[in-house]
Amino acid sequence: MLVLKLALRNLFRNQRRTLLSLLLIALGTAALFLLRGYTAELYAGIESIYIDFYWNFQIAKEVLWEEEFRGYEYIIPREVLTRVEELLDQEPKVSSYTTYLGLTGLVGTQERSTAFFAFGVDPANPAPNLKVKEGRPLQPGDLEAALISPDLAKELKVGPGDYLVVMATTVDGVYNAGNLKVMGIFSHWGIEGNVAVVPIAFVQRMLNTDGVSRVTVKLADDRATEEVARRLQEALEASGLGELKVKTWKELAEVYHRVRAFLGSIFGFVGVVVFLLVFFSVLEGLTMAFFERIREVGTVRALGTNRSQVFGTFLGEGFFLGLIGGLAGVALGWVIGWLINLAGLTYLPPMAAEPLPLRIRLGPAAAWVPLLMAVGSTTISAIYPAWRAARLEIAEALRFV
Amino acid sequence: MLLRTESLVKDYRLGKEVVHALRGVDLEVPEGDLLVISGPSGSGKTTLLNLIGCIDRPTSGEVLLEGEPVSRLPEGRRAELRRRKLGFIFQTFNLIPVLSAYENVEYPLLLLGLGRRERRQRVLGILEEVGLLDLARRRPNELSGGQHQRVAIARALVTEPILVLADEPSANLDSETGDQIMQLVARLNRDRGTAFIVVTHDPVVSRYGKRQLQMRDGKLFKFDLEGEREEKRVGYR
Repeated sequence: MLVLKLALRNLFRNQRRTLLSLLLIALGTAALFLLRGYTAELYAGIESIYIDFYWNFQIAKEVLWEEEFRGYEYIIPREVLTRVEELLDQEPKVSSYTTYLGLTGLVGTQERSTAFFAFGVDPANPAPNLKVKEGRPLQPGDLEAALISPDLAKELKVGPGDYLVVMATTVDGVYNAGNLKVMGIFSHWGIEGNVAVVPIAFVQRMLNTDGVSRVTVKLADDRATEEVARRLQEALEASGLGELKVKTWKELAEVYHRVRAFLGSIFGFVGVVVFLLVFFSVLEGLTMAFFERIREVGTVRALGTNRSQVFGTFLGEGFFLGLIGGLAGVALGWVIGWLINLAGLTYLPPMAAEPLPLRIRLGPAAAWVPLLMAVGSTTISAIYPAWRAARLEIAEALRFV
Repeated sequence: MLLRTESLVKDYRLGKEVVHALRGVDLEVPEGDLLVISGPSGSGKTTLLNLIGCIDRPTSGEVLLEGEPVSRLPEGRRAELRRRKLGFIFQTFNLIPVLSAYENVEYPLLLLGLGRRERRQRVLGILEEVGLLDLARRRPNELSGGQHQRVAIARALVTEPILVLADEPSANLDSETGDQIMQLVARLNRDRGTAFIVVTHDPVVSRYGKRQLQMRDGKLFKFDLEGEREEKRVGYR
């Protein structure tokens, strides 16, 4: 108690110096708090975008996710799909699932044609569910209907209401052709080039199969993703369907990890800069305080204070400086974050199709790291002056002028 | 015997030069003594107090407190001796500026780990003895020089030490206040029976001592009020 009391009081001995240090610590902590609150919201936003695209997890033959595969060996036959659907029906946390089958072929009009890729989705429950910016989305009952990407619309010079001819090879290696009516033009980040979204029944007809390439699963609670995926993988293996693999959206979304790593490195860089600023500022302040108090250290040591108590007093000053400055910084950051949230600002991140709200997460999760960094940097910076104070020879310290 | 020093020698090294601060000091201080050691600056007075007070170690010789040799004890044990058996009064008062007069006096008791009630009783008692009860809540910057030294005296005595070491206690005070401080020291010595060693460069202070010695060039001599001193180094036993 004595050590802490002295540490706290010594802190406000040179009020101007202490207030400057506190201001620096508070600003640094507030900056880290806001950055962390912003990235937390950003991560949550990105996660929801990816979950919206991939759903929580997908089930497919492992060969589908390999770099190279031949033919249509990845197709899940109808009878296997039925057993998978039975397993999914038994899982209470699954809220919805749908099927998907892709198609690579040629698409064209009478004037021009090009290679393209088609997502075959269930119009009643499409995954991915792409935003239609022109025309209308696919509807249940649609068969020869398509949503096309802006790139494909531009390449073929077509729009809603126009007709396309599609050519592809069936799973048996036979040429097949079909017609599609353009119902709309979609837009989605990350989907570029000549892409169309068509009913899965159309793709199955073109490929002459009743199978699918993957089953896409949505859960009522995103937090259960890993748990349900693991349970389902075990159930598949127990049912003799071990050739099917469950992959969560995190495993499928490689870009997500790169984005997180990038944002993490920015946070880390800012964190290191703030840490060093606070560290050297407090180191300078406490070293000056040490020189100003050499004789006083000699006095308290003469009165019987242990070296460890002297060390603790200086260390305590660093700790309290960090604690007070850090708490003030969190409070300041909270107020600024609250004002930003209140202002309802928006911004356009690199991979988003439309502006996202600029929001700062204000919970304790955003506070503890900046607070820990503030307290850690000031306490560590106090070690050297504390060590010097504790090592002082009493007689020399008492002679110090 | 409360204190005995045996052939105390203290050398300091200043670069290549060796300064002989103490050249073999033999001294005995009985319980309840009030010994005043006078001498000019640099004569070795403070060095002697530092060695007796366990805040420095002799080059050779020994200090015995209540018969126990203390010079070679580990630092932790010496800190314990300073806490329990010794009191210090400094020329520049050396109060802790962030603590009130009450808290400055309480500080050594906190180091001893005494309970709140006993601390309060002792602090208020000693502050009353030195005449500062009304100023207990004031910080050092709100006190005069004489009041500073009274707080320092209270701080030195509050642990009820066997020996108080006072280094030039009146040097930073005007002559009237210095006189009052020495009267207070003499009274506390008489009333409490606590032994004091006071070092001073002011021969006037010597008249408060029950015994007086003079220090020159690191040696102790008998004090002669007429200004003469015995040239032979003496051991005061």
